[in-house]
Amino acid sequence: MDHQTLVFSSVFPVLSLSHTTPTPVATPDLGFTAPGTSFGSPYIPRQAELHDNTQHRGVKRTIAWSCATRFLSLDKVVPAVPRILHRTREVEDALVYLLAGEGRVEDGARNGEEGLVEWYTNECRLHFANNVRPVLEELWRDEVKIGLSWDVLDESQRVLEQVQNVYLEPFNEHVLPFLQSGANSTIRPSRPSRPPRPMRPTRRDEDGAAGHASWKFRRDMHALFAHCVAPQRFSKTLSYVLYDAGCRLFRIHTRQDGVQPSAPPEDITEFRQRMTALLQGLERVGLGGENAQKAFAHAMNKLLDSFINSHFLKVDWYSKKSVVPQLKLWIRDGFCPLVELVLECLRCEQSSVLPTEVTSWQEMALGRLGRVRVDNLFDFVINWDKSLGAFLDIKDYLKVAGAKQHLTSSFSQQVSRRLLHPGATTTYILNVYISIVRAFHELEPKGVLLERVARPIRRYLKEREDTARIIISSLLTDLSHETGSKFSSNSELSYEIASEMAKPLANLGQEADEELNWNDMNWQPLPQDASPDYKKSKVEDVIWFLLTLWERDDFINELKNILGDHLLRCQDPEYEKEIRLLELIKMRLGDNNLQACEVMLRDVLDSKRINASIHTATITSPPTQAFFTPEQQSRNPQTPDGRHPRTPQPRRPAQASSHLAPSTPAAALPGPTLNAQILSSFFWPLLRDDDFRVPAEISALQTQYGTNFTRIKGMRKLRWMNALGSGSITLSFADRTEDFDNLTPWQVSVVHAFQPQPGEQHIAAKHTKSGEGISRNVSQLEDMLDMDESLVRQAAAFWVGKSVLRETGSDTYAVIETLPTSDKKSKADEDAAAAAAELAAVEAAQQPTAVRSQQDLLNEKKDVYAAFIIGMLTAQGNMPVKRILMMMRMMVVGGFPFGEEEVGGLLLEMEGEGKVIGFGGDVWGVKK
Amino acid sequence: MKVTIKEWNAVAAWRWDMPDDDVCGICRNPYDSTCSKCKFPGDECPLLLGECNHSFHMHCIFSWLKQESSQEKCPMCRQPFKSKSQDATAAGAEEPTQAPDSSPI
Ligand SMILES: [Zn+2]
Ligand SMILES: [Zn+2]
Ligand SMILES: [Zn+2]
Repeated sequence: MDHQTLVFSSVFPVLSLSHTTPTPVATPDLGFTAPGTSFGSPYIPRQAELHDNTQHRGVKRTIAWSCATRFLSLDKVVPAVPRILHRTREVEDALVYLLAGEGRVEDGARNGEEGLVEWYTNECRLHFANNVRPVLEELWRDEVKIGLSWDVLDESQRVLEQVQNVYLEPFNEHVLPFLQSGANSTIRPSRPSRPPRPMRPTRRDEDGAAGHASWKFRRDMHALFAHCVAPQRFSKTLSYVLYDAGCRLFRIHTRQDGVQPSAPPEDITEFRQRMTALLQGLERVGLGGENAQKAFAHAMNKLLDSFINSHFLKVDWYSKKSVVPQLKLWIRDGFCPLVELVLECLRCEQSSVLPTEVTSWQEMALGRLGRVRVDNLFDFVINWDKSLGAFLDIKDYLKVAGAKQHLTSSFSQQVSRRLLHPGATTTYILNVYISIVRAFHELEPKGVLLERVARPIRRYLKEREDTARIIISSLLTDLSHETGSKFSSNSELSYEIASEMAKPLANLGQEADEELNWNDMNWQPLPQDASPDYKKSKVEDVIWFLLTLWERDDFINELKNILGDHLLRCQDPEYEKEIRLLELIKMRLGDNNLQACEVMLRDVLDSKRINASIHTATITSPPTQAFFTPEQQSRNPQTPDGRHPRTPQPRRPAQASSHLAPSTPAAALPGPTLNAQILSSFFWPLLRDDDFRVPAEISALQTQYGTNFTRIKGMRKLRWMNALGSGSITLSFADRTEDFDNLTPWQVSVVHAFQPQPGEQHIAAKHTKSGEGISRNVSQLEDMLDMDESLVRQAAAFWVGKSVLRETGSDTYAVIETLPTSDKKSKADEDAAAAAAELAAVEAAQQPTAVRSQQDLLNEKKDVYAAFIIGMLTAQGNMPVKRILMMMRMMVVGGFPFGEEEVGGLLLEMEGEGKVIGFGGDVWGVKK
Repeated sequence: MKVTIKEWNAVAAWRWDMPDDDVCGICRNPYDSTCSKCKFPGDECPLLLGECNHSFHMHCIFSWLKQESSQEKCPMCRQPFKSKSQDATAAGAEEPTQAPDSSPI
């Protein structure tokens, strides 16, 4: 019978091939149905051919069979320890006859006689099916609860080992010895001093026939055992038990099964012994085979994960070191010894861990650790460089096959989920982008990874219209003079960019090379138009990554616009930062197409000299003076005088200057100084060009300046751009004098228009009760100044805010000559405050680079906030304002720097738009 | 109230005071820009007005006149080119190096 049939018959005893019960001695019946045959079996026809000889053997064998089988048959009740049988002479004879003598049936003999070994195997099988299997099946019938895993395995192992001993005892004592001696000679075997140790069946047994029979018997028993402990369920349970053992041995806190480690740590030695005993026991009853090894592999896999989660998930934030070396040590000194122990217990072919296996376990662990790290990569990036330790871990991980691929795709997902959305400010994205550049340099100096992960961010940044402005303004921001608050992620300035710019230029070449290994960064091809110096000085650092966001020419165009605006506002007479920025850009991008920027810079630098020479010309003012002024010679010291080109003579003689000069009492009264910035307008971006009348004394100065300019520069004329520039004035009132600096020209012009005109002196002299002086309305001012209404109103609001003017009627303003005394000034104060608020709003709108107010910020991001609120109320149902605020503070990217009041206002506004609905008691929900 | 202006910082844009076309007939760049060789406009790249009332970037007309084929004529009207400003500024000691007035008409 083949193995499969045996197993089958053990499962379905009813159908089992008829197993003979021990035959009674008294019924030696030649005609009994031979085992293994049924009606019409080939055995029956053969009976007819039996000779006397065989008839005699048949009788003898039947008697021996009956004696032996009765002797070997098993009791129904399984004894705790195998009962010791004492064989009588008769039994012994029968056994000898059947196992080693004439009655022996050779393996594979097909004459229909059953061998005794075969019979005993069937006897055990049947006994097992009837008496033991129900117990085990009961044990394994349902899913094994994890809390009972150890017990179920222990119990199964105990039952199986007990019954195995019971089956083995007669076999080893009364069958094997005869088989053995049968193979050697016919000498009766003595009782072996020690039973062959129960072990996993192997064919390497000493002596052929007996060894083979013993191996076969055990194999059959083990198949029987394995079959009744639901293999899947057993695997799972064993796997759990091994996982549990590992977790306890390594004191793992974060387990997949949620089991908490016992409070007082258990005795590890004792526990290890328990595990070893169980595994060895399972192995003895044949449950240690391949199935167990698979379960073990599965358990170790989980164990590795849990161990990494429990012990290595924490990044080393303090010493900023990699945890990989420790992990590798643990694999070698903790994990591998456990594997060896288990393999030994399960008697695997190879129970020692080879060095290459240690390495591959280590690599596997590194892979796990790396993936966990990569899952959180975005957080590490925004915490760069405190997160250096995590990056060092990932750096090791990158050596694992497929790691780079995984990192790229995982990080790209994190970036698109957490960074590239409308809620993130451009400044924030830029800051993160810079962190990415810095961190990825550490990760992989060649920059291939960086190039890949940066691509979507670069594309996204390029599409934001404020990116270039923020970059360039930040590059031009003086780090040392700014307070930290200026650089919040809502601001228009990036601290990260500004601090890059603060690094000394000289350092960029060499020091940075050593420190950050820039040398390896040769992946980016040089631009075709790179000058010979370019390659040498080109440094691919953070600034390079910022400046190359756009096509070079697009960037230069942006730069031109922003630099123009910036130069006109700049307070530094030396323009140091601007010069440095231009140098930097030339260094990174080459100096093509930077002409406009260079001309602009030259213009503002030269203006100082031009002012000086114009002033000289104004004072000396000899109309016939040659146009080679000191100014002109000094500006080109490198040009030999002789080569200096002569500019054409002005077409209009400079007749005006002598005429105007007396009107400016330069010598007598120290009147205002006019300083001009002379722009080569062709190279500047379009500038604000509102036209209006400036105070007469200023326009006189301008005319004079222009005349002198034309005289000196020949054929060139000036056009004044009165909306640009600034002025400082002193206001003298009846009761006070106040100074104002850095005013816009239209603010000066408007307040100037409140001076008494000829014929108005009497108004100025007489003081009204309210202390008001001259009064004008908006349209009067428009006419007087030729100024746009909006500018007039803006300036008037400004002066109301400064308590210089008071709005006395609709669109009518009067000078406050005398400030009201404290008891009646409340109304005026209110007006002033309102005007000041209005002005703040107006000015903020006017000057995009000025620091924004909270209100502006709220307005600017209103849509983002509204979308967030609607999303949240839709997902989570109605909420009170307090909770909405809390959620927004936690969840809105870039923070939510407002309070309940603002949230309430926002909700009211949204209610007005029909988006949300208030339910009273501050509870709000989405309008359905 | 009396307003005293202490200081005034103004901004002005300069232009060449040219009556006619606003590009140089040779390099086609605006007068207010530079010739194709220069970086900075104005003093460093002045204009030259011819007696024929055509004007060019000085550098442009000089290189033009240096060419044999130009026959020292104005490229626009083919009249011999002579700087108009020269007479007015004759007092100046410095002559432009390759001044066209070496061959006055
Ligand atoms: Zn030209
Ligand atoms: Zn030039
Ligand atoms: Zn001409």
